Amino acid sequence: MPDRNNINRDPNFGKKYFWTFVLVGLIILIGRAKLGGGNTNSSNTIPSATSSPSSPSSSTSKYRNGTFTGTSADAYYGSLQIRVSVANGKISKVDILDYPHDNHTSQNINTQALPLLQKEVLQTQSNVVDAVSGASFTSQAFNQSLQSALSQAA
Amino acid sequence: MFQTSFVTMSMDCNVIIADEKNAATIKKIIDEIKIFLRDVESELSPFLPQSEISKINSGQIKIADASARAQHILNLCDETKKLSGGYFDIKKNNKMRNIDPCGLVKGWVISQSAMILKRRGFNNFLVEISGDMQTSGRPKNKKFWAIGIRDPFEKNRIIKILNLSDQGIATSGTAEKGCHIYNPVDNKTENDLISLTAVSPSVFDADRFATAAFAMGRRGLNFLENKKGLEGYAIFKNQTAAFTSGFKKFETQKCIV
Repeated sequence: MPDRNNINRDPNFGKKYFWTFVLVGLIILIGRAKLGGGNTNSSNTIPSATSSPSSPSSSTSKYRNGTFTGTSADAYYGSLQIRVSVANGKISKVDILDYPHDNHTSQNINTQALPLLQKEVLQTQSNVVDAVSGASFTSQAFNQSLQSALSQAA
Repeated sequence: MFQTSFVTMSMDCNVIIADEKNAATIKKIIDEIKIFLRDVESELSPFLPQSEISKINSGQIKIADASARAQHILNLCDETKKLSGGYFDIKKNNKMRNIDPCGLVKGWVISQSAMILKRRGFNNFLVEISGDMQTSGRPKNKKFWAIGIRDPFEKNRIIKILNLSDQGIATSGTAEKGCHIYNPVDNKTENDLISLTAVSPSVFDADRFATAAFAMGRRGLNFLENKKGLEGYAIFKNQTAAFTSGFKKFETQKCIV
C-alpha cells in the first residue's frame, strides 16, 4: 500500500514504469506456468505433483474449478449478482455483475452544470472519535448471492 | 455519557446520550427505540417473509392494501427517485416484484429514533446504525461530536474527522460489497467512486441522497453540490478525494469548547 502521507510522490511513476511492470508481470506468470500452475511458491523449482501447496494461507481444495454465477439478489441501488471464479480449488476472483440503470430518467442529472470541485489526497487521522461513518461491511445482498455461487462450486 | 450498542435489522446500532438523565429514564428511552426498530424491521424488511414489503413482492397484497407505514416509505422512495433523476431506484428492472427500500429506510429509522429522543426531552445524543448517524447537540466537554470517515481501503483507519452538531451523516460505497480477501470488479457501470459521504441536517436526506449520488459515480458529488443543505465527500478508487464547497466547515469548526 503506498504511503499516502508522502507528499513527494512522483505522480508520473505509474506512467514511467508501466512497461516495466507489464514485463515483470509477464515473467512471473510465465514462471508460474512453467512450474505447473498449482504451486503458489515461485521460488520452488520442483514441480509439485502432489497437493499441499507451500503458502500458509491456502487451504485444501474446497471448490471445483470454473466460473459460477450466483442468483441475483436485491440491493437498494439495483440488483446484485456475484460471479465467482475458482482456479486450483481456490477462489481466484469475485466479480460483481450490476444491472444497468434506466438512463432515460437521468437526463436532467447529466445535463446539470458541473462546478469545479476541490480535490485532495487521503490522509490518515487519529482514531479518537465518537463514531465512524463508513459503508458497512455486511451487505446481505452480497452475501446472499455469494453463498449461492459458492454452493454451486462446492 | 451513556453509551449502548445492540444489533437491529442485522446491523450494529450505537446510541450515545450526553444528557444528564437518571438510569431509569435512559433505560426507558432505549427500550422504546429498540421496540420501534423491531417493529420497523418486521414491517419493512424484504428479508422477512411476513413483512409488508415481502407480501407486496410475492403478490400477496397490493401496495394500496399495505400498512400505512409501508406505503409512506414507498412514497418516500418514489419522491427520492424523482429528486435524483432516477438514480435512487428500489425496483429491479422496473418490476414491482423485487422492491427493496433499504437504501432509504436506514436513514429514516435513525431520523425517527432521533425524533423519539427529542420528544422525550433528550437534546444531546448520537444515534448510529451501521455507519450512518444523526447527531444532536453536543457530547460532554466538547462543542461538537467528532465523527470519523472510514478509510475505504483500510477499514481500521480513518481519513477524515468532522465536527458535527445537529447534522446527519451517511456513507455509501463499494467497500460494503466486498470482503477484504476479494477484489470485486464493477464491470457494468462506469464508476470510479469507492465511497461517498453525505452530510445534511437530517440523516434521512444524507442517507437517501448518498445512495442516489453514489449510483451516479463522479457526478454524484455535483448532484450534492447543487442540492441545498447537502455537503459531500467522495473518495475515488485512485485514493484521491473531492468535496463540495461547503464541506470544509465541518473540519474547521473548533471541537473543543
